[in-house]
Amino acid sequence: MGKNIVQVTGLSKNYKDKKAVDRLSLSIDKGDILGLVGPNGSGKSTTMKMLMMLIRKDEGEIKFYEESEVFMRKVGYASESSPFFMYMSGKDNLKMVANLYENVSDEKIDEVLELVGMSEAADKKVKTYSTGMKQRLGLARALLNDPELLVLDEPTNGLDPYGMKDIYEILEWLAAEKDVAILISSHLLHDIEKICNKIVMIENGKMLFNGDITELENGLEDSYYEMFRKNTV
Amino acid sequence: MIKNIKNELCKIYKSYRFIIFSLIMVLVSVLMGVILSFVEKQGTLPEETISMVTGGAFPLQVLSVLSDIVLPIFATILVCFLVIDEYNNGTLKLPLLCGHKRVVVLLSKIIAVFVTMFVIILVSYLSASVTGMVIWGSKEVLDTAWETYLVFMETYLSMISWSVIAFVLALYIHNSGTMIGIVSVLLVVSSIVTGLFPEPSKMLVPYYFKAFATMSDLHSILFGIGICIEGIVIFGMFAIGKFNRMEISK
Repeated sequence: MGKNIVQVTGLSKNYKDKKAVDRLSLSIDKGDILGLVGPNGSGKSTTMKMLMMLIRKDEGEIKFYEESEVFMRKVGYASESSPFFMYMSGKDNLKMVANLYENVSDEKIDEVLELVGMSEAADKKVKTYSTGMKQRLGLARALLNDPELLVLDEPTNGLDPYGMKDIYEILEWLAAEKDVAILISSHLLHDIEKICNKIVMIENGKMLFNGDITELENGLEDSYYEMFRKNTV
Repeated sequence: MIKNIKNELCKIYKSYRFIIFSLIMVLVSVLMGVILSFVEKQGTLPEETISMVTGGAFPLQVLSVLSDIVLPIFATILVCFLVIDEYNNGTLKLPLLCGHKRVVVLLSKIIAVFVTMFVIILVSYLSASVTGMVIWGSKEVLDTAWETYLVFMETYLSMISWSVIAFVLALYIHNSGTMIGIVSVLLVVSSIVTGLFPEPSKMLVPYYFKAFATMSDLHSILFGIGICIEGIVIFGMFAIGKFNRMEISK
């Protein structure tokens, strides 16, 4: 693919009685859509939070192609429970974040709202939004700064199949047309394998597979592959 | 940093907290004015006592009522709103995700509370002064306006020093209800302690919530200002150190 955006090597995070992430390595290039797949509690969100420097890593290295202080302004992040100021409208929430970047105009805010299908509801207070609407607004917020890397933690949680399809189409377009690198997590393999070109599979913090989506079936024990595929035990 | 401060002030304004607190200031001034005017007309209290709380002394009397518990609680509520509530609902991390340094994020919240408390105390001063002028005549109030203003500003310094202490507590206590409860107890205890042991209490910020109103000696005033500024600096550095190390997992 394109230029390497972020290289993670041997990332680990320990909590009191548990190793939340155990020597995880991954690499994302421009235009990649890398799926981070694992059951609930496997360490996906912890990995993403370490990448976003919200929590400290205990071991390992995270290397961006630029100095992290500079590069963090080019990253867009959306979590499954996208936080908002509920007493403000969707548009005002985006304005709050747009103010923190340089050169994000009102036109850009309108553009991202249009892209995620939230233009009509933008002036309503977020407390009136459904889960799906909040997910869409979270994605819009992540796109405000024209990011080079998008980090999305279960972005389709709470969305109906049409909503999920819309989100995936946007992500595929961003990766193909804008060369955005995307790291997306999910506990459902069949959910994201259609759009990802790379997969990292984790369970109990340990990496089970890291490679191209085309190699997944051969690279993973049958039982794990089927479990993730069907989300059954 | 200016943009961060503007964002924090916007949050306070749009949540109506500032407006509610200001309305409470006005209401307290008006109610106290009405009550004291009524008591004065009744003639049940000695004139000497009445003159200490009416006319030109009225604004300081209002400040005395507000500064013990009400104003510190307001400051604490603002801190809870900007730190604890944001931590719990996940919005505390938003400026960090935009690449802003933690020290800038925290300082912008601290400055936003400073600005808001300044406006609230100014509203209190103006509403108490106007109420006093309406009830007892403008001459009495205007004669002491400048001295009264200085006392309000000195008390403001003690309030913002207290707010920085509240920031430190908020970085450890992740529940607004618990925070308000602990702060309420601290305020009551400090009120009792400063009454019982005034000399050692001069080293504590809460002593100066009410003390500036009764000080006339410049040395004491400057000492009090020094204690408040020292509180801002020491607890401010502590808060920044804690926030830099804090894991923002929500």
